[in-house]
Amino acid sequence: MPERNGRASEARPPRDEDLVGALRAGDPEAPAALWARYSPSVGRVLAKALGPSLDIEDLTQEVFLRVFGRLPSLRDPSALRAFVLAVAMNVLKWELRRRWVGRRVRLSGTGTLPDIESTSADAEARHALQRCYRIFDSLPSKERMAFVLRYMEGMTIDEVAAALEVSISTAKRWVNRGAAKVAEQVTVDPDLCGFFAGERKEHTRER
Amino acid sequence: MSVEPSDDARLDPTAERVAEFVSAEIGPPATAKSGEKEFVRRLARFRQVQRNRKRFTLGVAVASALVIVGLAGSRLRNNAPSTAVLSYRVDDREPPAGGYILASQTTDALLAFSDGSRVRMAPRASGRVIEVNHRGAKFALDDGKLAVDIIHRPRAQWTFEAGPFRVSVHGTSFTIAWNPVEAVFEARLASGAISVASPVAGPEIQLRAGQTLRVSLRDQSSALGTMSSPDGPSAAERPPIAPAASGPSESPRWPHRGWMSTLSDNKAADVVTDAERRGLSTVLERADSEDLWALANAARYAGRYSLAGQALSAHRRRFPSSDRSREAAFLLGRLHDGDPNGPGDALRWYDRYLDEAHDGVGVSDALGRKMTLLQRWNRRTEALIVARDYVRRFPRGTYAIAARALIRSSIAGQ
Repeated sequence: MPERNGRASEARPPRDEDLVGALRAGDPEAPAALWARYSPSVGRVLAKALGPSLDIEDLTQEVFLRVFGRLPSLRDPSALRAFVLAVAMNVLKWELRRRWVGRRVRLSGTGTLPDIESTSADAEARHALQRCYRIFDSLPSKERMAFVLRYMEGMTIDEVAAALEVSISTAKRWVNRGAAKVAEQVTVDPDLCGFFAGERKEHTRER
Repeated sequence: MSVEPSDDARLDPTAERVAEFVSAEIGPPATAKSGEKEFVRRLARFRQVQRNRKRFTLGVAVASALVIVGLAGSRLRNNAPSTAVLSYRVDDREPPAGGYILASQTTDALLAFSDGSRVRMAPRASGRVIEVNHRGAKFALDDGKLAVDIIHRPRAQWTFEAGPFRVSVHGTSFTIAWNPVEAVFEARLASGAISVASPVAGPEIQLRAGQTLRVSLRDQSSALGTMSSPDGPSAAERPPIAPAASGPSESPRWPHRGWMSTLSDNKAADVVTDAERRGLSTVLERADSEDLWALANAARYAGRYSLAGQALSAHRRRFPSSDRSREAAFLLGRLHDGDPNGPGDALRWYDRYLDEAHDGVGVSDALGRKMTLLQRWNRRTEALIVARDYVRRFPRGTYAIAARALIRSSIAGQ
């Protein structure tokens, strides 16, 4: 790839256009470069949307394999980031559907969902995290994805719309509905309500 | 969390607190470093499949065009080829006429097929490619050992014959060995599934990942086992052929700790401390392969050799078919290398590794260490045998000078 050939270019990472060109030309180093650039952000979005899971790395790999499969359809090479994210959202959508079906078919006998595994050593935080993901699980997947991108990833509505491949007004509607449902369910949950109202501040200070 | 408020309506403060909390709890995933190699490997396979699909599509298109343009008659339609026949090369050269291949005395012979499948013949092995078609190939092993890696494709059909045994494959990695003098057949399956037709065991035997099969025609005996540590029962001691056992275990509930990243930041002690905090017995039984491997190495770096040994053994027991478990045998050999009571354990592990890895990158190292270990314990005759083997296989290896010196000294002493 051109950026590895000179000192000046080493200092500056390759532009997305160059990376796409290298990928299309079959540069053997391009896949690793693409992975290094975008896998952290893709993995992060998937982890936030799905919760900590052993599947995250597999799903991240799935996203990048699909990116390669669809690369010929990328018209604007400078939009690589948005392209990767859109593919990731597509994979996420199917994964959410798969999990929803899995819960309906196998795990809903008692109406309870499997525990979310948290990396936190704080039992209270673990408990709160589980309850938060139970709320997320109750959201429609489109609202869940919109909520994650806007509230957790800090994207603008324009970026959310691009990632979900919908109009800005639709993206805004999904974000607002998702956020409203999350807020409403937190408010009626006595544990979470208390946790986020007062105890959370203390918890954060301790951590 | 930084969100620009200018582009749309204000954020809901409660939802914002939830998002902030969840983001902080989840943290960054450990995919970038650990997944890159795996991704590149999977991509190579993905591209191979894509290429094959393109070839297939092109083949179908050309065949269809030929049929439409040239063969108006309906009789010929049934005879039109639908897919490309595989081709192969032996050590990057055209295959010999008749397909008979005899590997050299010292090096492997590599058969590379056009679909990406690989068959590696061990030194001195001999066999013949009987048939190659669009679904796979048929190979007859006359003598020696094969390491096979078949790319999975829909309707793929590969057959390996060894004496009276027939191994049917769809997509998998395994080794088979056939000793016509002793009339012993062995198969070791790393991944996927194969079925073995044996004249001894009646119907076909289904092997799953991590399982081994040894059949002796002289004794009329068969033993199905798993690729486990040498502490476990030998294949012959295991029960006779039975329905396949379950595959390697990995607890689905283990929260991945990302210890590999911690280790790469030179924080071996942190990994050990974290493992102890979670309970070593729990970790050894539940950790996923990557975390368990990181713990083994962290314990080695931190001088916790007993714990390192436990972690390596646990990895071999729980993930018997993985590359790491093969490497674990070598590392266990190194852990026992300095045993004051004798070289028995170290030699056993080195031999186990040499047996399992056959062409792995650490073979030279394991063989060299075995030689020096035998020397150190004054077992000169055995050391000399290993030295000769080493020089023959790795004439420019790290231990070649020491091996030659040992050979010279034995000649001078005669």
